[in-house]
Amino acid sequence: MSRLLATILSGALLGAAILLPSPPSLDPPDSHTGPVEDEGYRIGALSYCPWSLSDGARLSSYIAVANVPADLRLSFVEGGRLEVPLSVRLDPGGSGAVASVENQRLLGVSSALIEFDGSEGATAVVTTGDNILSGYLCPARIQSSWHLPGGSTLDGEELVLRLLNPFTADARVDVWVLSELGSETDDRLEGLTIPARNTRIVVIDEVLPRRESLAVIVRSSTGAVIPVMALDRGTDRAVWAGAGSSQGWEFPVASVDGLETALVLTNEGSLEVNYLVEFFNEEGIPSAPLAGVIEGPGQARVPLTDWAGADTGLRVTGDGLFSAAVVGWSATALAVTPGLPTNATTWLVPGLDTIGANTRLGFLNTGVGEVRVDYMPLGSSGEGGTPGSLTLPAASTATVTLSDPGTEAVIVSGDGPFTVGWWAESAGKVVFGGAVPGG
Amino acid sequence: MTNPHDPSSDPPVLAVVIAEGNEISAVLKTISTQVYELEDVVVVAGAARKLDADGLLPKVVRSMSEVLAHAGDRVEYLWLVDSRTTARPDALEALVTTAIQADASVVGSKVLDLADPRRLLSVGGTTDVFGFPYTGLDRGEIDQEQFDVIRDVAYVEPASILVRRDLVGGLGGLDTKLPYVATGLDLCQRARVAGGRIVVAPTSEVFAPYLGSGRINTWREQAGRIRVMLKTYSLVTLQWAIPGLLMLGLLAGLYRTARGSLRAVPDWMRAWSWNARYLPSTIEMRRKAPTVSTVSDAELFRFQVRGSVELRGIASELTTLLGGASDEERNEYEMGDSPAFWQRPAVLGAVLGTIFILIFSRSLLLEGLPAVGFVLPLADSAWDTLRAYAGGWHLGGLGSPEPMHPSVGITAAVQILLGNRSGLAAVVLTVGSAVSGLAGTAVLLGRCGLRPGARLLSGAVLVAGFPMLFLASNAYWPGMLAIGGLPWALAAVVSPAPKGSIAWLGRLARIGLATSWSAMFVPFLAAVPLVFGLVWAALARSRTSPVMGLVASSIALPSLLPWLLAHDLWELAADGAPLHLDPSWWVWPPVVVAALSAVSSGRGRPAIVTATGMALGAAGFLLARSSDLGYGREPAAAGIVLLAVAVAMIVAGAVDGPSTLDEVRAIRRLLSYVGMVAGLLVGITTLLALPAGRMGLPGDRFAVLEFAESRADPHGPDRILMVGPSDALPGEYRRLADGTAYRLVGGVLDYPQSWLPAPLEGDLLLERDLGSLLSDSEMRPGGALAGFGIKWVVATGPNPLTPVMSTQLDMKALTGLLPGESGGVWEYDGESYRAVTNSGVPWSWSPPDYTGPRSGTTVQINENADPGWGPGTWEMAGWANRVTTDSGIATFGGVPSYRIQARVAAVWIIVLTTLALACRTGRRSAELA
Repeated sequence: MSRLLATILSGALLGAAILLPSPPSLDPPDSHTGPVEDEGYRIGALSYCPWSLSDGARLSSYIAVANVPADLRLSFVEGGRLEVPLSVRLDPGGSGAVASVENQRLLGVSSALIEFDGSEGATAVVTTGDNILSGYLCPARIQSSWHLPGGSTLDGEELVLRLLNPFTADARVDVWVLSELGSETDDRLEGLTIPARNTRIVVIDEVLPRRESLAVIVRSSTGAVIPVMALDRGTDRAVWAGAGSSQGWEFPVASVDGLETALVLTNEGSLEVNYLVEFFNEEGIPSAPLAGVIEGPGQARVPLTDWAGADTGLRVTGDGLFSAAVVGWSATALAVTPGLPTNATTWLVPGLDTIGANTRLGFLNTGVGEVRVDYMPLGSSGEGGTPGSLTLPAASTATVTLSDPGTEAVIVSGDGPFTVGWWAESAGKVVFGGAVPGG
Repeated sequence: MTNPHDPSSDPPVLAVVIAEGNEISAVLKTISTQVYELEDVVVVAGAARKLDADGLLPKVVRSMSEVLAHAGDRVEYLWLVDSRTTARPDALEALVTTAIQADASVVGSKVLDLADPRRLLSVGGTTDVFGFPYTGLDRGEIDQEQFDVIRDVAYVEPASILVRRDLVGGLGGLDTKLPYVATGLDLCQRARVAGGRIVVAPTSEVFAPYLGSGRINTWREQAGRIRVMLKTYSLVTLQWAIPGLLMLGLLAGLYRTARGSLRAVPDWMRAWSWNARYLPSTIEMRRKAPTVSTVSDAELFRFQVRGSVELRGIASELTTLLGGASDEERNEYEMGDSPAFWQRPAVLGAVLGTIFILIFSRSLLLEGLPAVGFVLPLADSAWDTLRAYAGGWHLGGLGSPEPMHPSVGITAAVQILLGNRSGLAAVVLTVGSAVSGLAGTAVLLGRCGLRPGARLLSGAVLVAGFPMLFLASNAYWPGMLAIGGLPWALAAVVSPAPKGSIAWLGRLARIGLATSWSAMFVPFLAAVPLVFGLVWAALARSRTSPVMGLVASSIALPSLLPWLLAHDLWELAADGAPLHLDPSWWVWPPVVVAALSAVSSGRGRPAIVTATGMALGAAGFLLARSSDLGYGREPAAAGIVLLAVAVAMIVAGAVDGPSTLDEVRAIRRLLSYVGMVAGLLVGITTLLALPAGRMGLPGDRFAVLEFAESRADPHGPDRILMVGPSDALPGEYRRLADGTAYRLVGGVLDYPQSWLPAPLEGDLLLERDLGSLLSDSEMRPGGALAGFGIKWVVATGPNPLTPVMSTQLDMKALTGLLPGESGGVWEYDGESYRAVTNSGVPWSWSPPDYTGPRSGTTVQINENADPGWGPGTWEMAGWANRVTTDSGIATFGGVPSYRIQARVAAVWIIVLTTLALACRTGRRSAELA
């Protein structure tokens, strides 16, 4: 009898034990290595600036902007170490703080880090001088996969990829090239090692010459890098940083009078992506959208000249992750800018210190309601420019010419989401500039 | 040598009394009653003394040479009689007759116990090559004339020896420096080397007092045997025999010390020292003796047994232990004496068990333990660990005054006993626990009434069954060590009650020690004897087992101080990451079939054992999967260990089941055999763990951390922050908000650090900083972590920190260590001291203290703030400490109440150990008396 009871009791306990579930694993899931959606350029404690030029005839300036006063430390990355030549206080200028630091080293092209102590901010590198008017936003976040569409290696063009590794561990990357010939590869582009705190230069036009449309994708297998592309046509030079992937991109400035422009889309996935390009103008009357397909993997180049006017902005959306850039060119000018993957209500717009240039801000509201926008020009001299405001109707664009001298950055805010960009023109050369959501 | 004689005439014999003490009247009386007419009686008294002869005192001489001078030429034989001996009236006549008939030079008498004349003490015997006597008698063997035949022997006892006078003269007399047994051995060995024949005459009966089995292990007898070897063996033989005896004596001494004879090793040393001192006289006597050679050695070897009798005795004791005979059943007299010794089941079981454990653990024995999970090296200084354990500073994380886990204390204590050799202690603990668990299971099931085959199989199931392999694969070392004590505790619960208060004391002490051993590693196992006792009582209708279980559980509790009282019960039950036992599906069918078949078809003890195992196993399994009920690691570990014992019991009951079914229906027999096959199947699965030879432990994972010592600054290694999957971190760990597991290691990883105390302020700040590091907002982690004394970050597997570390600015990656995308080691170049003076001089961590230059200074100690730090004034420095000191040392003063509790625990263990040894010895002495 006692054995029977023991058996019954054991069965009951055993059944209860079997029914008890395993505890869930509390370890965070392993990070995946596939493409991730780009959160866009954001303010951060660091800005990675892989390209600036200083050679006597041309001069780059680091223009940093933050919402609140902060200390800024600029370190050049060279030879496996960080040089810390400069610390600057970002003084208040109106509702924000801005500083401009010229690269006076006369050492040619340099890579640098900008660290914000006490705040987060954004930095742009603007370069002026002989045969150059360029500017780009320094990334503040690391992507596992960087897209740099918009290049070409036709005769007379130099296309250089700079890979900055400011970190303490060596990085190993693969450079993947998409051109009109499809996906291209070369031993000289695979398994590139970038030593810690160093920059590696890849001359694309020597590896893949005579490509009309060439997009580069940089993937890190170990460590991390920040890439930037420089395209030199002799009369002008365009510099732009890499971006990630997103299902939608906005371009507040998609066209400039006198420039031929094209939208270049890249897809690193194996499946094709269907895209739709929508055009916006100041009248708020949308043009007919363009639809198309990006091969997987592959790129698509959409000429904009026939579709876009001087006040045109555009939005491109897809059913998969892709990246986008607008390329503009003329006989004397060359400009490239990546898109903005998100809209926001506040933007920091650094890099407007283009003396003698015709600088304009472009706004894009793709929403269904109007947005009131206020903008505050900032200068590192402490003198703020003339603030302004405007109303963006639904599905429309607007442009503002900045006339205050010494304006190096603008803080823009609105009562609804929108995007903002800028462009400048000087002596036949053009630069497209970007903006960063203000946090 | 020839011995011409005339059988028609009685050869003259001189009685020689070898005086041991002053009392010789009894021996003189027994000599006077001999029917054989003696020439004379002489007493040899080595030193001047007053002899009590109770009448006319015969001639007293100092040496054998005087005896020979006194004897004259007429005397043909000397009858050497020990003064404590009495003899039957015809004893001498039988000796003389035998000497003449057998043409023997030395004839010994059959020696009976003076207190109990039925008991045989000696009928001569053989020795091993080291002179260790082998009587061939069972202890207490009754004389039934079973040895009454004239036999050639290697030696006879000197209680009564007839020896030819001319032989004694040729040999130079007796060696007066030798004790009782060695005297006889010496005379016989030298006589044989001289060509004489040594026989025993069983018709010559004498009576001598029994001096105990230990008399042959006294240092005098050991010394005597060495001297006899030196005198009688050739130099060729001595070249290997002397080193062999040296090592053998040491091993035997250590073994007897472990058995409670604390004088064993000193006796061994004394015996060799004595021989060194008297080596000149030994050489002199060797020179006088007949020529020794390899030929004479061979003659001696003819009457010797192979191997070592002493080792054989030790092996016999161990196998008796493994055989599981209860204290009352154990027969010490049988040790090594049965001619079928190696065929006995217990011996075979011991041999197979030893082979199993050797194969099961061979890699660990050869290479040492890996560093993985909770299997971590013991600390360099066991004494310092005990200081920290006894109310000192917890060495885990950023420190705490919280008491450490009891296993830290017991492992350090064992390390001290083994000479502070951490590697040796770790292997001994691990393999020893497996051996003890296997033997304990055999004993437990023996006391439950099962047969040896089932016992051995279940012992293997215990140490290599799926529950223990689960613990091993999770590298939960405490659970592996706990298995060494639990079966012994349970065996004591089911044993019959001992007789007498001393035996009771010994039983309680041993059951307490066994339970304490397991509980100090897995504290919840303290409750198992009580639960087992209740289940056993219900199934086997035992009235004593619940009481013994309750006593066992209660006795173990003080050993858990101060850890036990520093936490509340729920905290103990819920703390720690749970071990969730989730074995493969194929593990269960044979166990369930074995259990159900044995319970339903069996009868008697096998069925009861199986039912008990079934109930305990189900309870253990429930505990082992109780994480969903909110229980933590300790209850789960106890459940797994309990399940291991239970599965062993189920297998034993199932395998032994058919033995109880002689006259039952065929279907029941069939069911029983099905259970047996299932049980055997479970047993066979234990073989799966043998090829690796690692007791189921995974490979080494943390030896790579040794880089810290080699890269450390002169003040020693700073802290290491480890992150990675929870199963890839050493010991306990903490989690960040996103689930990332991490922990700190104090430069050199050791077992005391495997346990983490409850987090204090510093730990919480570290958690906050790590959170910001993972959120990508901190680009200079080295500087942020340096304040915690962290110099290195080690990622052991996929974790969110590795990508962050690949994009930071002030920690250098150390290549070649933990390579791969998911792992890595990073080092901070700046200052990251655990302790530093206000002038910036780093201090060294000498756990649990900090040391530095001896000069008055203020030291910042980056341990969690506690006013117990000193020795000078203390002030809180953020989450850390700042103390003044001029002695070059900063230390934690300790928590007085914890210190007292730790000392109580230590005294308690010492008392239990002393009682266990003393009462065991007392029982045996009583038996012998």
